[in-house]
Amino acid sequence: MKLHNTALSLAMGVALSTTAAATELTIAIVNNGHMINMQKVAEAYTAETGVKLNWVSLEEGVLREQVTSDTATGGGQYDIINIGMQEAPIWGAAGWIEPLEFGADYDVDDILPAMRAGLSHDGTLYAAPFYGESSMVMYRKDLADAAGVTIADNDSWENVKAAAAAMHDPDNGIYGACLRGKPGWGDNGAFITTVANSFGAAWFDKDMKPQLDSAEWNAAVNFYVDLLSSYGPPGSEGNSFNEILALYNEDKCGLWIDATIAASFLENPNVAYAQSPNAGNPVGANWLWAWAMAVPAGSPNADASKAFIEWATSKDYVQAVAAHPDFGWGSVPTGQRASTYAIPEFQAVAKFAAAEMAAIESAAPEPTDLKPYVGVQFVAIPEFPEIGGAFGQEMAAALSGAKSVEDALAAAQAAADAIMSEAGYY
Amino acid sequence: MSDRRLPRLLQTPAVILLLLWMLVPLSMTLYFSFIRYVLNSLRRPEWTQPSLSNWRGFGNYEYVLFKAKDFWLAVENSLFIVSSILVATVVLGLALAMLVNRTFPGRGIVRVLLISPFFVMPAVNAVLWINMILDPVLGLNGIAVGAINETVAGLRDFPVLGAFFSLWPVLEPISFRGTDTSAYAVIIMVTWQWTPFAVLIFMTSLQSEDEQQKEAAILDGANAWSRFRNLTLPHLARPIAIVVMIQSIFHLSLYAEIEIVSRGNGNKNLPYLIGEFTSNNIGAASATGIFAVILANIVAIFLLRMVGKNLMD
Repeated sequence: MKLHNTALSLAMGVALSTTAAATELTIAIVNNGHMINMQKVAEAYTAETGVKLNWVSLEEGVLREQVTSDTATGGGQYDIINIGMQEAPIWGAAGWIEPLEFGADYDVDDILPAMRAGLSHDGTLYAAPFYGESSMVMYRKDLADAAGVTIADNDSWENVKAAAAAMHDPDNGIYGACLRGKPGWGDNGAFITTVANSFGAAWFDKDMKPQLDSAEWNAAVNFYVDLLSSYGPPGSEGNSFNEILALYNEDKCGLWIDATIAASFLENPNVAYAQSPNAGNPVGANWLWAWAMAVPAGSPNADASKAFIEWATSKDYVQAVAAHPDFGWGSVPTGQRASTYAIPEFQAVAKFAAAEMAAIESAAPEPTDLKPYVGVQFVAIPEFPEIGGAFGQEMAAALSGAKSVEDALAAAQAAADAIMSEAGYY
Repeated sequence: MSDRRLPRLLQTPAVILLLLWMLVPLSMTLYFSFIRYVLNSLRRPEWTQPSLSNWRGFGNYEYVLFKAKDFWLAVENSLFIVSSILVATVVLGLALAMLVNRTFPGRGIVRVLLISPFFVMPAVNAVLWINMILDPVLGLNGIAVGAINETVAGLRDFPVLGAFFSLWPVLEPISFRGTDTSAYAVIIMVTWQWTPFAVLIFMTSLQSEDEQQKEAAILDGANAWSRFRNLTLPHLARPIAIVVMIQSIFHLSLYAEIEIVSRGNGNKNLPYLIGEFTSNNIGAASATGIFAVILANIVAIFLLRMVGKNLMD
């Protein structure tokens, strides 16, 4: 409780020094668990500072649409917006959002380096991470033991496939591998891109020419379609995070490779974790994502907004969630700060913490020779949502057998090529 | 002349307001469809402002028609989905309206239940159908297919019949989110939702049917089919035309069902395609919007002729 109070008085000090009383902030958030919890935790912030908070909670896709059009046209509906790693660097570059600088108490170096890199443009932080995630393998230890298979960290894809085959028992309603298939750059696009990364494929070459017709993409997508159509549940082309979580909690899945955040929602006690499979490629096979908070450029309440973000993404916020009567250590946002992982109470409740931290640390969003763009499971350019959407639909068509992998990749390549040349890249 | 001038003068503000109401959005769409206009661009920041200096003529139209993905798929699907729903709702609506037009105990409750799907919101309708009924694992679809397979497997152990049942195949549940099936999922769920509308309209007009004429037909020895064919159907021509027209207007702009079933994989229509472009390329979205207006007008011309003819008779 003591820490909780320190957090509030600290925040109060910041807020009072920058704004007059009775400020109102409108905050657009994604309707994920951690953000919903924030609405309750922040009641104390309002009580202490007098800053009134209006929450607009939206589903991920709707939020993106709303926030993009509002920010692009300078609509000014929101003082604080939830954005992700895809948006932060390009919106920062376009001058749509304000650069963020916080006091020494904030300890910006405590934020995980991968998160800072993914939310910055030219070394300046444009969005503060509220929680972060990577991806990892989650599998049923009891089924794996019964089948006599193991899954190691960074295992080979062939071993993972063999493990899925061994656990696959459709007559009893158990499917070896549950993976994302629903179209969307943040859905099947995110997962397939990590598989492709591990096969050494990249979205674009250094001239930003799409590379979807490369042999590496072909091998990766063929593997994905083969694995999922042989050992996946029927209707995989409709499954994304929430659908697979439902299947997994109905005990219908052997292994699942998805966001680390899933671990905190899994109800079966027999779950074991492993780092994503990889064929030894440095880009890795896990993704990197953060839901972060940013301030639209030219907001009249910019100072009060930054003060709130400083509080909501601070170490003290983590303590405030843990101390809140409705929540506790199991509900604190993770993946954003190194210090959280050092707290013994957190370690005691989060048995996935070590695997999550390792996965996040191994993912690098910065451009490299192999992948000359920012982003791991996406590309941080304004055209990517459109390209990734078209790609996702083609991949779902390949998965449901309506197209061959070659035809689907060729169609996705043609779509990406048209969009990139239309956008003036070449 | 002066006696007509005053009413016209008084109408003018309303007429001007209506004109603006229609013309401003349409002309903005038309304008955007002829210029380069994107929300964000790293290479060409000048394209992010709607300005005449970004004029590109028919470039956006050319891009949408010949270079971008799925324009013709969207047009075909728009027409396929709308016409399938129309046929299904009119046939089902007629059949149900004829059934509940008779008197039977509990008719009031049956009618209320029959109408209720129409009050479900489109997004709720789609979520319920795709997750609870059509899902191949956790939905009724998967559970039913599993139960049939289990029953057949059980019957195989019987001494004589077993040989017969062993010839039966093991059924696979259909995935309604697949590329080839997602359009049917949309048709099924929208038909479920809109059949009540057709029933409602047909039921009210059936009640105005001339009973004496029907009795005379019975006395003349006409059978049920010929009574339906020659008396009821002509009587219902006008309500059918109205159902077809109103539903076409609504179903050309379906969006929620497509988004929820498969995110445009195999079942997209023109509004959905516009939605995909609006993530960045406003010029292409506007050009597609103009195509959608043209398509809606073509459909409307046919429909107005049909309805007009019916109203004239």
